[in-house]
Amino acid sequence: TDGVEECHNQNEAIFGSTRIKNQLKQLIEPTAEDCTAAIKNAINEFSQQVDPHDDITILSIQFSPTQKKLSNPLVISLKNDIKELLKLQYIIQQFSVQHDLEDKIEKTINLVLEELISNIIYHGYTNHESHTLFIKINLDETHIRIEIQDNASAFNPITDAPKIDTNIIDSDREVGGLGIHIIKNMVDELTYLRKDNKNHLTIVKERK
Amino acid sequence: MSLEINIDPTNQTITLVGRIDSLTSPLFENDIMPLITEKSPNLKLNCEALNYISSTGLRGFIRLEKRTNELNGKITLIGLNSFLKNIFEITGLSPMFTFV
Repeated sequence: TDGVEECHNQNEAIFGSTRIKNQLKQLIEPTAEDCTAAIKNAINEFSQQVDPHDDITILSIQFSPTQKKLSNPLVISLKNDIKELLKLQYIIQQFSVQHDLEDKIEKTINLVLEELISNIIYHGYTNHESHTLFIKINLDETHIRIEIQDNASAFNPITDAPKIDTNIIDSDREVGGLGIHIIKNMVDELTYLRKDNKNHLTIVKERK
Repeated sequence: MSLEINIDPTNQTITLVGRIDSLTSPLFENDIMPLITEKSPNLKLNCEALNYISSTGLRGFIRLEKRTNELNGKITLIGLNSFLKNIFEITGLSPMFTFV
């Protein structure tokens, strides 16, 4: 509260915001508790015996994004904005580090999710409204299971995506269906269900 | 992570660092396409530090190959890791490129 900044000493000088900043700058890798303690200490030294004019309340918040433990199973929600893929990449990377996921499995999840999610975002919605997609990741010792749930138009990527013929070597081959072809070749199970006006896609990959 | 494209003008080797995905593939194609000319139709792409290619990225490779092919050139991919090489193989695209 502003009781900190406006704290007076015997000469009627005020503590001020610069002193707060300078106190905090002096600390090396402080915890939230350290910050509060340092400010409290500085106020006591500054004001000496003068009683506070106002209430003094100090709240310190520690921001540590990389230390956050991601749960397993993990649910990720994404908006239908292609930039959300950056958030997804970051979460997958953190999840992989924290749960000792094999490099090859991490790369596969990344690729599979990007292909499927970008497809939903680019082609799944007929209006320009904001939508939310959900991804659930469930890891056990032998398998990783990923479920994608979205309220986009009904689309079964297993049967509805264009088929590609890998025997045709052709520079003109700019067809769709490349993404789903890659996914089918990389995962062990792929199942689709349309239920309650939602697409439910489940992907299972063996960890080996 | 994003994509970094470093162009060495002397021997036309292009070093790719990072990811070619939905977000970076327009940059990949737009930066490299103008380098394919009648005078120098060959492309050498150093892929040692490339760690991701999505299907959108693959389409970029296909369009670059189409251009070099028209000019009787070829694209050489240097040091592509096995995970990414596998993606070229399962999509049947590996015969279109030279891998070293």
